[in-house]
Amino acid sequence: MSETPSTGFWQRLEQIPRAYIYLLLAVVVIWQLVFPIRFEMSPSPSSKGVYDAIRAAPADKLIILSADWDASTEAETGPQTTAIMRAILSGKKKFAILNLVSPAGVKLADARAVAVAKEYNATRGLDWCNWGYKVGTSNVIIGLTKNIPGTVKSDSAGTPVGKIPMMAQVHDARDIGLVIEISGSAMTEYWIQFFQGVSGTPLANAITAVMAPGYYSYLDSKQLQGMLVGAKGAAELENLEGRPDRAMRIMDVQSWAHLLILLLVVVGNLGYLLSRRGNR
Amino acid sequence: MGKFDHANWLLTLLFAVMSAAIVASVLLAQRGRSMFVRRIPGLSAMEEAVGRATEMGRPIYFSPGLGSIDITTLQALSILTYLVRFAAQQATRIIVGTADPTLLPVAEESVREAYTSVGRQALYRAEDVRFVSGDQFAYALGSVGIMAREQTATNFYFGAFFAEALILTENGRAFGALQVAGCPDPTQIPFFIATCDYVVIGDEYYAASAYLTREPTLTGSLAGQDAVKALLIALILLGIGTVTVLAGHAQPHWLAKLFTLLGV
Amino acid sequence: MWPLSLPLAALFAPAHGRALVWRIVGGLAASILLLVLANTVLKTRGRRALIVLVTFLGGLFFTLEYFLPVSDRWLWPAHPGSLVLWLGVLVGAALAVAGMVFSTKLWDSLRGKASLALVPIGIAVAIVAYHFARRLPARIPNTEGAPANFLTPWIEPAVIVLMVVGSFTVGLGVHSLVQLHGRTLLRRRAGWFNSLAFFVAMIAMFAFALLDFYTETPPKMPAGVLPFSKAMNEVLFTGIYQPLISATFSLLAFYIASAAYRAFRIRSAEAALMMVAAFLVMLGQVPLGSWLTHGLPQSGPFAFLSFFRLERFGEWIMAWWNAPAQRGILFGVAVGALAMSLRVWLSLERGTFFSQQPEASGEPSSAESAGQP
Repeated sequence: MSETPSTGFWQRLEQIPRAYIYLLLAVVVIWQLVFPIRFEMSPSPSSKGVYDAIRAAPADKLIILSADWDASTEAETGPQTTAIMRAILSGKKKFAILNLVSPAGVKLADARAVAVAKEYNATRGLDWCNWGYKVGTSNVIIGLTKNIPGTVKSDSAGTPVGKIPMMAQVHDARDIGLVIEISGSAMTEYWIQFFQGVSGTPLANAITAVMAPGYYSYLDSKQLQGMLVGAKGAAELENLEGRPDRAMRIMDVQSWAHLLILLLVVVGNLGYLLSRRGNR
Repeated sequence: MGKFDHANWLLTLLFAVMSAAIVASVLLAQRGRSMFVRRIPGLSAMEEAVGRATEMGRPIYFSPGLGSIDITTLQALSILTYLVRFAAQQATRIIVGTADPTLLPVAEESVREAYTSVGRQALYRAEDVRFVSGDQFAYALGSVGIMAREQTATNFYFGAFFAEALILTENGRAFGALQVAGCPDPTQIPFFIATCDYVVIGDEYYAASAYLTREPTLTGSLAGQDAVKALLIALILLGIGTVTVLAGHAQPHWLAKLFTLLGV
Repeated sequence: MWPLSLPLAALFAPAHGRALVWRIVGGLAASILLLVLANTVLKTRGRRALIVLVTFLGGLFFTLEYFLPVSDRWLWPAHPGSLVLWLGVLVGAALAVAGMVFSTKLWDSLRGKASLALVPIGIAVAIVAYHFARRLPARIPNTEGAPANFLTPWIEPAVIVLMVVGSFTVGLGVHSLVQLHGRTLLRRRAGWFNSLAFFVAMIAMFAFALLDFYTETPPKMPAGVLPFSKAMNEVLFTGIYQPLISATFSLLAFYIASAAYRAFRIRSAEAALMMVAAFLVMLGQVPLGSWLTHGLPQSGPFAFLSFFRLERFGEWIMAWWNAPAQRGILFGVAVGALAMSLRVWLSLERGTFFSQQPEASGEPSSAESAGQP
């Protein structure tokens, strides 16, 4: 369990102290943040699917952004949320933010919406609104299929839904053009089971990269129209919108961080293989 | 697209058949029919792991994950109960840190009963089963703090884990602890494999209680699961064959009409 | 509105003022009385039987609600014939279960083998009866509109009850923490300053969050200026708590680097294959990987080479190799969860929550024998 110190060169290569690895990674991250080397990237089919789904959503229907994230996953889900909001507002569509997981995330998503709305001269209550945090997860989603005003009741500021102009024509799932689930937890399955499966409303998601492997099945079965995978997905959507921003900066750093990790794995394996050969 | 808020007749039939297979297998096992269970290294190593803590005279840390009272966490408690019984016989302390307050009284009761069942109720300490935090990363850091202060020799991670898994296991490894992990969700398995000595993957997790106790009910259930998996494989092959047959037909095939009639 | 929803509406109608107080007091008193009765009147065996019964009924409710047929036309069998047919469904199911039980218990005898025939007969009876029950006319329309059965309106109250019961346990968690850290602080055990920090943080967050909730911002406050309680809540929550959470999450990047370096060793052919796949996927996830293979043409006679662009190849590995493997694991996990759920529902899960079951040979289990001197 603990590392046994060894004296040979190859053995030392196999046992680089943890502190040096962390230092190397920190240097690479800081270097790329200060002196970024940018490479162009082409969008993946899954990210293109999200972009196309937003473009295809009817202009007279609402888009629900279920921003089920908080500060812990903000590094990935934050840029995803911003990129999605930009894609929606640039297409002159309306969206509503909802949070089913963490009350802490309501303000974070709201702050991003305020910033993006300013760029597109969008008005709260007319072009976007924030329904806030709702307790009940599956019950809330089931309720949204049948009666949105009755389920939502009021927005995050306490304003009754009846007094929000953009909610006047929103009654049930038939008035929803697209649902985009943004989270670092397994919320997509709830939306598939209780909303998309029941009403047939298109669904896309934006998730942290570590969760992506489990959702390709849903892309394959067309239960998801598209999927943004981590910061890469956000960067691809930014590129599709023609507005590279924070997510692209994250990708600049991530490129070199991945390369460093791969180099470390190669070095470790070299040390392992050559020290074994030396021992024979 | 089908409706998923309630079952259709096909799902009901499938559930009935699967449940019947599992229950029938349990009843057969209770009648004395022996069932073969293959070796699962992660579970076989549990006694070795507890023994290590006993030899070093240091406690064990058990984390049941972030879940509340659900099937994954109930299975974790089942494994915990086995470990407590085994460790109690060797007078080795087990510290349990929960992330859900609803789980706390259940975990306390399970641990207390486990000590009592082996006649070691005097070894039970209420403060060894504690609520750490409901927040994911606060729980991880609190657990790491417990491992560091108590200098645990062995760490067990069984339950529902998410991003905090690597924080727990990497720090546990840095402290020199032997680590055994089990999680049914494949997402965190790579991190467990990279940092733990033994890992229990996928449905081996739900086989743990049968494997450890060898009780007829549980081994019978395990055999029933295998029968259900065989049925699912047969259905998948049937589906592949059907789609292949239907693929090249422009006119409606009688198979397609049959499936439409059945509502599939 | 259908008949069974009337008692539901009466039971869960919102109460106000004195009626609310009486409901809370009455509910608490009834709960305490039930607990005391359960503890004093019921012996251990009786308590276990009660747990088994409540577990079974709770599971049965949710299972039936999910599996009972739904309709947007009717919620309750109204035609007399449909009641008989529903009885037929129950009888068919009971025949199937009985056939299964008898055949396994009496397998050695001819009677046992013959009773296996009851299983397909029972299933056939149930399916035929259900098929005809669905065709009979309804009397009471489902005014809610969504497909439902007669149990569906009870789901939401049941879930609310569970949530309320669960929320009582939040106090248990706080009590556990206060007890543990209080003891450490009072006895000045090693690390007592951590317990002091816990109390300071808990009291500060609690106090300022409450104050923030009940404080209204005065209308004449200048823009960007907050009352003290709101400002403190912002500092504690947005300024301290959220950055701490983000910083902890960012530790994962460093841990992944050191874990990957230490753990990924080519010890076998499979490990080498996995390493190659990991390299390709990792490079495909970043723009650097796209740049490395950007020269591969996407159009023209050699357009097929674009498949080998790292971003596409990596996604192909994820979608065509990784996803089926994940599905396979998920199938196994789901079946395991189903088996575990059945064992818990039918209280077959011995050893954890009940006394251990003797092994099939009749000898006591190892844990029981180990407890003896």
